[in-house]
Amino acid sequence: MSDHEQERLFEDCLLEALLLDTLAPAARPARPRRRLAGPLLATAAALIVLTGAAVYLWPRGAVYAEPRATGDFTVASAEGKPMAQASPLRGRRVVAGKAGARLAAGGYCDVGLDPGTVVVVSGKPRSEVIEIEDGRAVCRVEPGKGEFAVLTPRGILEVVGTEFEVAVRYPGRKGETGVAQWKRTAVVTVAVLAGLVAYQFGDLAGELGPGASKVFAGEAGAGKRIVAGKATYKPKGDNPAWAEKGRIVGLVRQCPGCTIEVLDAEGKEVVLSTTVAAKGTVYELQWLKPGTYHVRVKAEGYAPLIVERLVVKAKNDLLMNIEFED
Amino acid sequence: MDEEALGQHRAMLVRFLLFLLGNLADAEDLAQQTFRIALSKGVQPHKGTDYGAWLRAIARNLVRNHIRKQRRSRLVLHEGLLEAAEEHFVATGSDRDDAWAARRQALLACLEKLSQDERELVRRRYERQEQVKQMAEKLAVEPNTLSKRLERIRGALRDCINATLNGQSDE
Repeated sequence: MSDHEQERLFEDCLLEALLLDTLAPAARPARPRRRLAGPLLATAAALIVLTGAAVYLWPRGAVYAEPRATGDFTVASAEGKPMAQASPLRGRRVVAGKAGARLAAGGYCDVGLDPGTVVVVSGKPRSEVIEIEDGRAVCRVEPGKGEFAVLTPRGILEVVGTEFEVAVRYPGRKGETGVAQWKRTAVVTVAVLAGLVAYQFGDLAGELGPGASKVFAGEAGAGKRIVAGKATYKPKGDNPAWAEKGRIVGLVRQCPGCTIEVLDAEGKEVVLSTTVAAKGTVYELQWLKPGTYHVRVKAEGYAPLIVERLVVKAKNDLLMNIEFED
Repeated sequence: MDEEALGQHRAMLVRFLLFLLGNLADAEDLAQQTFRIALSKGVQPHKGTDYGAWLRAIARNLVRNHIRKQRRSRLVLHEGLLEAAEEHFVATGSDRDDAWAARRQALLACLEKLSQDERELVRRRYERQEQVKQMAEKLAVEPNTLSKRLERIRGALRDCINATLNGQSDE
């Protein structure tokens, strides 16, 4: 193969990768032996929340609306280099001007930015993410069209069709903004306008209804999450077992009759198990001694999924959502 | 290496495997296997290692085994090209999320420039992931004819994307 042919092959392979990565929906074509949603391992054990690949309806033939901004704003690269307003926004920093700005993406995310608010637009089609570095954003998300998450210095808000606002402030550090602030002390306020928001942050867990708000203050940390969405679970802080044991809980979608088993650290013995009855429901595996466990999900027609090395801590809910491919 | 650091490389790893394998399900399977190996206690990168490159090295070994078994990759007959393929991946900036996002944006704009028929073919092949043979049967054309048409469309997209990206860098 000549150098030219080799280059051509690589270019063609790269284009096919780009086409698949951009166009292929989360739902994969059915196989004779179907698999559970795939991309679990990347987040396994690292995070409090695990979420399977979401299956969303998207009109065939529609071109996805990439993130765009309107109103008073400037665009900069992630490194802070100023860019043209018409530049693609993904991976870029948007700074709202004095009149405020608006971000829209995918036809289902609408984010209002207060004057001076700084956000980085990331994520990918049908799985949009904005990172709020400073300021306040009001987010409205239409359910059923895609994923939307808000990353804050205190955690991540994962959203399933709700309306809420997030404000990030750095008390005592007026005038300082940007990435350098990311790991410093921050105050994040979440206020729910519609729908339900469930949050979990260390030992804190609960839910907020319309009109409710909560402040998450303290040192910023990665890997902590606040989950916002319609489906939620109840904290069990009032149970005596809570003091020395933990739980694995989460939402199961599209999985009637499936069994969720907790295996011991060696992955041999089943410590606990539960069977999911309804189509979309919340499951609980309680009470587990602090330690490392594996979780096995079994359902008819699917190869078993094993999520390895989940660390359960006392007074903690390990939240793992499970969703199946078609 | 901890899981959090790994998670930051997941998207890059999947697209690298997509580049090598051209199949989404296989790419995700091997990405999972790569992470499993990377998380295992016996395998640890040296201090100061480029995690992305380290993960791609693990993935390349898995791809070698995979293509021997599957014989599905377009690179299957050119196993020795894997290292060169990685060099191309890095040289085109595909290992960087921001560069990949720009490429995606260019692709979406270029898709708009195709005719409706061409867009529909692209959609069937890459969005619905229909096989060329199945598509050819449904369209009542020879698979070779369809393959060549898809090749021409990809050529047009490639030229358009390169022109768009070069235009951006000239700004």
